[in-house]
Amino acid sequence: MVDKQSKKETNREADLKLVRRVKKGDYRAFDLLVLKYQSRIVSVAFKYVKEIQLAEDISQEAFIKAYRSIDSFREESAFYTWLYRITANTAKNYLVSKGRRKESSISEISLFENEDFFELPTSDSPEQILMAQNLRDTIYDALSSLPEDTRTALSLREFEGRNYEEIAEIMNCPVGTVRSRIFRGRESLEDLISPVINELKVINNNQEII
Amino acid sequence: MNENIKERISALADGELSEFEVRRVLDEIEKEPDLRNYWDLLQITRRSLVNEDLGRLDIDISDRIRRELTGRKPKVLQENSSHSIYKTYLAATAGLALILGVNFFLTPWGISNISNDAFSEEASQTIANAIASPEAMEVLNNSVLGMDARLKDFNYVSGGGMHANYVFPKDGRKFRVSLSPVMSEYKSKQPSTKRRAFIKTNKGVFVVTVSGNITDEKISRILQNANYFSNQIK
Repeated sequence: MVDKQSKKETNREADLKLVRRVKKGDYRAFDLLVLKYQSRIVSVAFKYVKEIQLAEDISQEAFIKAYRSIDSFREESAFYTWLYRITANTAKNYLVSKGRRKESSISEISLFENEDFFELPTSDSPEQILMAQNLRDTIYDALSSLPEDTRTALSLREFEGRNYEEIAEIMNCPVGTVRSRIFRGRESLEDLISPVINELKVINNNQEII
Repeated sequence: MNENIKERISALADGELSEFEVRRVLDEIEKEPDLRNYWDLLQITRRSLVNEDLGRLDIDISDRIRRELTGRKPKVLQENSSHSIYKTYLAATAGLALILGVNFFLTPWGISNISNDAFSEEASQTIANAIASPEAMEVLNNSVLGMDARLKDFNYVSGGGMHANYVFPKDGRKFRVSLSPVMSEYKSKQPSTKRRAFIKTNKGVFVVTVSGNITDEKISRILQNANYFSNQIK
């Protein structure tokens, strides 16, 4: 069972390390956050505007706003929660400008910073759902085929949200060994899932082209 | 890619690096664009593992954001990126389109004396420059205009060549559009003249080929479309 709270905390901490670099003016750290969240942010924007090009433009604007106002991010919520709010408000304000919705204040971004965000339901095609299921099956098959130590370390990290020190304590081994096992586990998974991910990307893309 | 740096990127994703190490890893990623792709794949793997919504995997707005915020262009993509097919496709197709935009010949041109190494180096730079060009992407998209063809996959081949594989959803017939440096093309099999076009650019001579289960009429249309739309953006 996934320990959602622990996982959220460790993920939040990982983002905050990058955010702190961004606050020092390191754009490279922001670039990694963009790569991490862009597909989800575009999905969020798309759910409001229902047009992919527009969703990309709104997402771009949201990331730019986030970067320029990063000093106002007080680190009381997860970075993604904050970014999600900026995106939602940017999309809503766009709809307002088109006369399609009541205006929402940009100050909502800070007001809602402490609140958990609400994910809108996805609207994937049957083909995407099937591929996503295929991806999950591939991952779980790959996971079960890993050596026990590797599988345990990776599971404690990904499903339980444990940090390396806690995993080292549980597995009675050095932190460096935990880091290495988790890396090896991910490497094995990536080799197997890359083709499935590529196929998913092509399906996404073709839905726009065709 | 260096295993050690990949392991540190994995630890970065877990928030397990010190501030000093984070800075070092960012330096490494900046130097090697493949590491940036590795970070990207790592994030997708992790989200897949815990059953999170993957969102739109085909979307990449990171270069646009970077340009807007820093005014810098993306770094050159490495030929051997083993993942991120869509990004590779974008890069290569934009490169192809840019080359098409220079000149186009429907008759064979003879063998250029350009070396494969020189081609690879120049092509990488061309691709890097072309990523930023929406006009270039438009040319390639338009080359299969009206074909009702669906992109299946895309890959690089040795010697700097590129293949894009398509399928006609209606009847399942498949075809491939390739771009190769003339030298490597002549070392391997030569398609019939109906299926290829030679392109002379200020970087050398290249060949575009269309192969697979596709009529001559459609091949001709692909080549003509590419020519036409490349002329439109000159």
